[in-house]
Amino acid sequence: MDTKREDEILLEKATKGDKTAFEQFYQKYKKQIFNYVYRFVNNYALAEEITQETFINAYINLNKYSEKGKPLAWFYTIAGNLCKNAIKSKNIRSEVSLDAPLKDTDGNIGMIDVLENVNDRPEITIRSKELVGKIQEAINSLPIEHKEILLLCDIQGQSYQDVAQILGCKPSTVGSRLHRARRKIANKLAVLYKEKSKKWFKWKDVNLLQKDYPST
Amino acid sequence: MVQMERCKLATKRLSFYIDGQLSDKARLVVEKHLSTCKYCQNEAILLWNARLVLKSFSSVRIPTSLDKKFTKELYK
Repeated sequence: MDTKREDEILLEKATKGDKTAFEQFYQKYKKQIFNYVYRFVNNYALAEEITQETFINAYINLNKYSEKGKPLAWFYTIAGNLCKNAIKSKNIRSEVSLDAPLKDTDGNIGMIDVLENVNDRPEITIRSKELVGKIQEAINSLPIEHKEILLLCDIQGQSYQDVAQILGCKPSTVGSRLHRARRKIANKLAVLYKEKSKKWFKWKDVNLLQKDYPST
Repeated sequence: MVQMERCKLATKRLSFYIDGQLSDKARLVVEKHLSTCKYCQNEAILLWNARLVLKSFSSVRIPTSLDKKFTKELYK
């Protein structure tokens, strides 16, 4: 059975009042949704609040869930709307802390940026917390529409098709919006990478880059 | 003039290209254009780098209190 069908079954059960099924769905996707929200609002405590609200709102409104497309997309839509409302209604302060680990509301150390390799290629792995902070600042400086599309496509790795469902637009619109967003952030990242002497590919490296070229 | 129009076309399609969203035919057109157009090569490499940087961006650990809060709210 594919993931989409598995998720649909969990939500069907949840619609009939099976809270355990909904909890299973939550366990499966809480990390993804939390990370999306955290990068969106850039505030750890608020991200926790919005993530919880996303799942609870979805549970309350399960009867409104349409079975077209992936169930997870619906959760991204709810989370994105809550983030946008929070940004509009609150004066969210940036919380890119480089010195102190952030704590959750129970006082546990919750967040230190975790280093990840891209296809085991250490030359493009971000190893500096300072750099992570600067990239987050660059993302934060973008208009919401551009920030949203970069988070969904490039950081969350969602397909054009799924992002189109999340945002309620055509896949071709996703592509052009993504292009504008990448174009906007690319120069900032280029300056940042040069300052930090980080690997920034040139056209002569194109064969190396094509290793990451996704299959169609 | 023709060159400028082609550049405009390729620029519009570059993100689609690096994300593998073009048909084989359209991809070949872009690749052929990229092999000779310096402007589009620079654009493509800029976008490709941005995509790589963002894809390698780290994830954060979720707060340990989230589960407790969620289940409390769900089962209340």
